[in-house]
Amino acid sequence: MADPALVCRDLTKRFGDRVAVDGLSLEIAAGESYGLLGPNGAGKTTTISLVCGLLRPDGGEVVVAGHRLDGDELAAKAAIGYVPQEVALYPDMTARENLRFFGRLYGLSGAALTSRIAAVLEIVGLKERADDRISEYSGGMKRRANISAGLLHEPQLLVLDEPTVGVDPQSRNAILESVEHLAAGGIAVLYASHYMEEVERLCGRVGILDEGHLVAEGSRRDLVATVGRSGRVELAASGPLEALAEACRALPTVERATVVDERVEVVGSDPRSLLPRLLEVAGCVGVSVTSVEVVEPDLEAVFLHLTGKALRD
Amino acid sequence: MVGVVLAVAAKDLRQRLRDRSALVLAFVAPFGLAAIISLAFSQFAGQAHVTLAVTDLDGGPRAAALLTYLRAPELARVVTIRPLAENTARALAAHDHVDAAVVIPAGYSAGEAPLAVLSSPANPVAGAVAQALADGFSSRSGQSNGDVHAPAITVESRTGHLGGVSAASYYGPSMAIIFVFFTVAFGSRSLLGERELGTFRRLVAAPVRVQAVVAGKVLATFVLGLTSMLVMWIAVSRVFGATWGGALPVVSLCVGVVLAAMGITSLAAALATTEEEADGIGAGLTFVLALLGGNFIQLYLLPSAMQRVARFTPNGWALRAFVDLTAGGRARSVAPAVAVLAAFGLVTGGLALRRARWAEST
Ligand SMILES: Nc1ncnc2c1ncn2[C@@H]1O[C@H](COP(=O)(O)OP(=O)(O)O)[C@@H](O)[C@H]1O
Ligand SMILES: [Mg+2]
Repeated sequence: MADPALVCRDLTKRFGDRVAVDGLSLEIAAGESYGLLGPNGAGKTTTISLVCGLLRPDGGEVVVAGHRLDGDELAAKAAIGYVPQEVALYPDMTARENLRFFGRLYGLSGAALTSRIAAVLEIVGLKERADDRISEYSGGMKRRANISAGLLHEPQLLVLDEPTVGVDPQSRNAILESVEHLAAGGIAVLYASHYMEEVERLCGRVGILDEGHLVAEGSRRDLVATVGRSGRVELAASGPLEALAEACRALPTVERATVVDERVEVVGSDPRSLLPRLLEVAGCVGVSVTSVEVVEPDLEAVFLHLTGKALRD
Repeated sequence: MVGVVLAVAAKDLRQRLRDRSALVLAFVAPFGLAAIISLAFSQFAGQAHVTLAVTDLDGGPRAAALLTYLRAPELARVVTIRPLAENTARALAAHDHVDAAVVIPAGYSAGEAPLAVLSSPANPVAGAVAQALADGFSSRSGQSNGDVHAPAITVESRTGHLGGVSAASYYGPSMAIIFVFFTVAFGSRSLLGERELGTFRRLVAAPVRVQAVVAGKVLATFVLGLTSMLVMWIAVSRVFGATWGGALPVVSLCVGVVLAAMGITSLAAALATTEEEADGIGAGLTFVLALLGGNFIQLYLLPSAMQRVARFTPNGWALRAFVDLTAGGRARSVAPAVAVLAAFGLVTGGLALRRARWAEST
């Protein structure tokens, strides 16, 4: 059995008296994709900095592919492909020159380096623009070039810190596709983001981070199950809305029904199968429904459920 | 390890060579400024010595008396006399091969023709000296010589330990020293720049020792600094014909100056938190050291108290050593200066390394 790609035990990092990461433990198996989901300021970047050896922890330890960061530092670092949150490339050099330089830092040279450069440029779709300076790239292209520099040495663990922030939808999709492609190729991924959809799409397992704590961890399905299978149906309607809410509450699978503005919000398990019965009841009490929205439980709901806060502000 | 050092050095050099302002500071500005300042200063600092062509078309007793007067031992320090045929003298003066020419016309002894002084507009001081000499002789011998009405000028030859150096020989090294501080400052503060750029995070995340990264930067900075000084040396000697001295002592001195400049500018960078701040602190230090060290005003023109202060600056040490060399000092005489300069560099550089923030890379 291969070593886990990453083990964090009881990691703690303080900045003055602010605890940015508080006793965080997690494990990523070889080849597994793990999402670190949390709002801004949750401690994602700090966690990643600890994992990549950019910050020294105040407590706990990091083991990358069997190498303790505090002890076998260079081997641990060599196993990681790091993609910083901000684009970290030399703007006055071309993408190819940047890659050549960073490749050499990872011990690549000669023909091996040249072919790896070609390969990563292909992955991020920048082959045509490889000899342009980074300063001439669009924001999305810079982001993609930023990712390519983390892939050169074929790391066992790819660490991405919010790689799609501030990127146009097209580039964002290209980035997500290349990460999916890499994950399918067997590379382990630690993906930090505050975008629930990205983490849901890419990651088999998700850790939810809030104020430096890992408040929950598991597959998307496991996590959604912690909020129960309840979802929400929103009926925009006119007529006796209070009467409709009252009638809905009598239905067996409905947990809650309330009137909000011109809408009735109904919370209950399995909202999709609930919908026909709700429309039937509406007809009975003389309410005409103008639109319907079914909101299935998602990680956003999980986060709200666990922390009482929205993921995005 | 070596591979990483070279990779970082090559990368930094490539960036410097692409940066126009860095190139101007390293190669163009010091040369231009040295040229301007030495032109401005040559009138009273170095070139108190005038080469005068004298053409005697008269051959009479007054002409002989004039020649004797010009060759007087008291004047030997100030003027060199080259007896020449008239058209040669005119041609040489026109092309600045001599500083000025005096033509003694036929009939001068008989009082039939006045002396003619040829001076080049490019060298008004030499012209004035020649006129003053001619004037002095004429008034002594009680005969007017027509068009010469220049005021009498006393020309003082500055001698002593630091004297007798042409302005170009002084301001060449002087400007090279000032600008090498600016040139190496780019490298010294480049880690701060990488921090601001975010690339420092990648450097630290890579499986390399931070010492190797620093060594690469030091190497690139040293190469660029030394190249800038040596180019200046070659350019100044080619263009102004000013010699700095033999190759070995000059290169050793340049190495010493580059090391000192690297140490001092690194310390400025280590005291700063941003590249801009480092730039400010570095430029301030550079100018203070240049002022105290005699880069702007020749050391031997300064009061002796100031000359002693200059002894505490790397600039003062370097300039003294360069002047010594130019004045024909032996190669070995630069050794103490090279040692002091290297020590300046090592001490300040060591302090900078201790002061720098390595661990926390965010
Ligand atoms: N270098 C630092 N100095 C002081 N506080 C910091 C530093 N870096 C991060 N923090 C604080 O630690 C907390 C976590 O920050 P961060 O890890 O950047 O969160 P995220 O990446 O999830 O947005 C925040 O409150 C932030 O203000
Ligand atoms: Mg962050």
